[in-house]
Amino acid sequence: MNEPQSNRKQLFVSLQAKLLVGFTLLFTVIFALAFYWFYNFTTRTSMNRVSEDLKILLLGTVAKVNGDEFQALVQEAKPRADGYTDDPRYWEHVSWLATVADIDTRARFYSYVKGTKPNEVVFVGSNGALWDPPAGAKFLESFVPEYKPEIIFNGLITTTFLLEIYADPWGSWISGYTPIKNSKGEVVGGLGADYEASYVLQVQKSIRNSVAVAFAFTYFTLFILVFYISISLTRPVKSLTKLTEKIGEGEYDQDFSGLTRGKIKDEISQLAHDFAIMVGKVYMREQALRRQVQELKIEIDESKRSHQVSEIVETDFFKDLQARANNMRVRRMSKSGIFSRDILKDYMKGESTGDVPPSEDKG
Amino acid sequence: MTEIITINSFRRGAGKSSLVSNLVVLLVKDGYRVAVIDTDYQAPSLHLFFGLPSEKIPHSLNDYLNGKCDITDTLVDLTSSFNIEEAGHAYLIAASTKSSDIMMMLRNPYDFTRFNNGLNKLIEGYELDVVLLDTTAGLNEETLVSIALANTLLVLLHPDQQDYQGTAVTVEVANNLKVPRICLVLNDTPATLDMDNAREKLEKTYQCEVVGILPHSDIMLTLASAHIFALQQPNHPYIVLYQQLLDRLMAS
Repeated sequence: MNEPQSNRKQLFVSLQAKLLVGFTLLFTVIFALAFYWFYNFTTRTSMNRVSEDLKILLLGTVAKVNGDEFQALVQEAKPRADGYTDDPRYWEHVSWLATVADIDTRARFYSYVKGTKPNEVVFVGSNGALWDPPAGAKFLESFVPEYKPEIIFNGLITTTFLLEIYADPWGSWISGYTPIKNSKGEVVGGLGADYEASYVLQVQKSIRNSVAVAFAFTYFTLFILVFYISISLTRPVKSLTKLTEKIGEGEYDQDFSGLTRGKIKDEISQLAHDFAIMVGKVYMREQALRRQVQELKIEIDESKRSHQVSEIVETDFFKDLQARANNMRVRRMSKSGIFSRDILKDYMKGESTGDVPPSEDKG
Repeated sequence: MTEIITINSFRRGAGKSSLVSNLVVLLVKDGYRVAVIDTDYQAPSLHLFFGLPSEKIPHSLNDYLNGKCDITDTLVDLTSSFNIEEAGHAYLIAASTKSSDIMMMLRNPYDFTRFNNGLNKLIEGYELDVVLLDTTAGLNEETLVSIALANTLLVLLHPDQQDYQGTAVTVEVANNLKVPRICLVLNDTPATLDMDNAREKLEKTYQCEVVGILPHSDIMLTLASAHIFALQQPNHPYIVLYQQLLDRLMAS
């Protein structure tokens, strides 16, 4: 079995860190999507509401505009030096616009016709003409719209809205345009209305602020929650890791009860339980192996031994050595005084061939 | 009666020379007059254990066996190098490290009688109590001569099957040579070995006395051929084991 290569450079990222980073990323994506959806939905809803109000107001206003008089006013009235006119039809017209603007103070009305120059519109009346001092577009004032001019010209054909909020020094607005028709049904001009859209912006700002607080609170709460959950998940794994390290060092008497006790079982406690059983079995096997070593198995192949011995003792060299050794031993015993007839007999046993060498050993 | 002890093992590297050199020191400490003879003609190394370079050996055992000198010319007195007070005496007879002498020994097996005569002359002339013969591993003709000369054959073996089988052959051959006493030393055993059980099994298997069971020792392995451990660390537990082994060996 190969030992894992511990020296290989592997980046260690704890399970706890993985859980924290993983859940944080997940929360971030979910919150981003939720915020995006909610922000758009609320903006769209509030914008619909504002545009619906604008539409009702615009169509209601144009219905009371006399197209024939409007046509005559444009064709016949002469502007004064201050940019307005003395024509009573003009004042009647702007009076109506001002009346409606007073009803819904978020609206600013003006009427217009197509100019003679490219993209030119010529203002006719404005509810601001009755303000003190007068404000807004003056009678027959030329204007060349720069941003999406087609919208205002479309207003001379059919009811058209510019629902993108735009801002100027007086506020944030959306606009709507609808044609003014004479008694013959001919378009003789257009009625425009700028409608304050600060409500939509307020709603958007309110959502951003509320969501930011909710997001921060939830984010913090979930982070703490995941932190503690990850600790509770990784703590038994870390304990198990420490136990396995000690077991690896041969300390088998480790206490797994801290991981396995408890009324509720889970995968970790089951793993610890199975691991404790495995350690017990490994320990038993190791003990058995040790006993095997301790008991020293000696196995000798008798036929092989017999053959190997025969190869040595049946040589002439050995027989000669054997005889000389016997002779030497007899002499040694004789010299040391332990010589006896029985010992001599024992040594000479099997030497009946008479190959005891002559006494060359003079020592 | 002088104790002639031949030390043999079936395989090389069993620790013969290390054991012999330490036993010499312990014998001298016990007051014995000892001669140790290197009969490992093929790979002589015993002199190195005693810190004796080849050039300081005037005559080798090969010279005596080839008739070039007297046996007494081959003796090197080791006693002073041990620096032991009120002790016995130790002599070394080294084998030649010259390749020409080694080749000659391989080609011409030496004469048993000449060796025996030389041995007897030494024993008588120097009043030796113990002669130790360190042999080549295995059972070649030179080893058989050394075994034949012994009163006691000491066989070293490691706890493995190859050694068990080889030791069985050695013991049988020694019995054929009527060596009066055969002893075993189980060397380099695992720490977990049940020594009593091992001794019992070895004695039952080989019908020999087990005089020592020496557990594996890293320090002995490290210092094996560099120093005589009994001189360097005389109180080391391993030397106590050697002393017990020697006591059993000399008990007869």
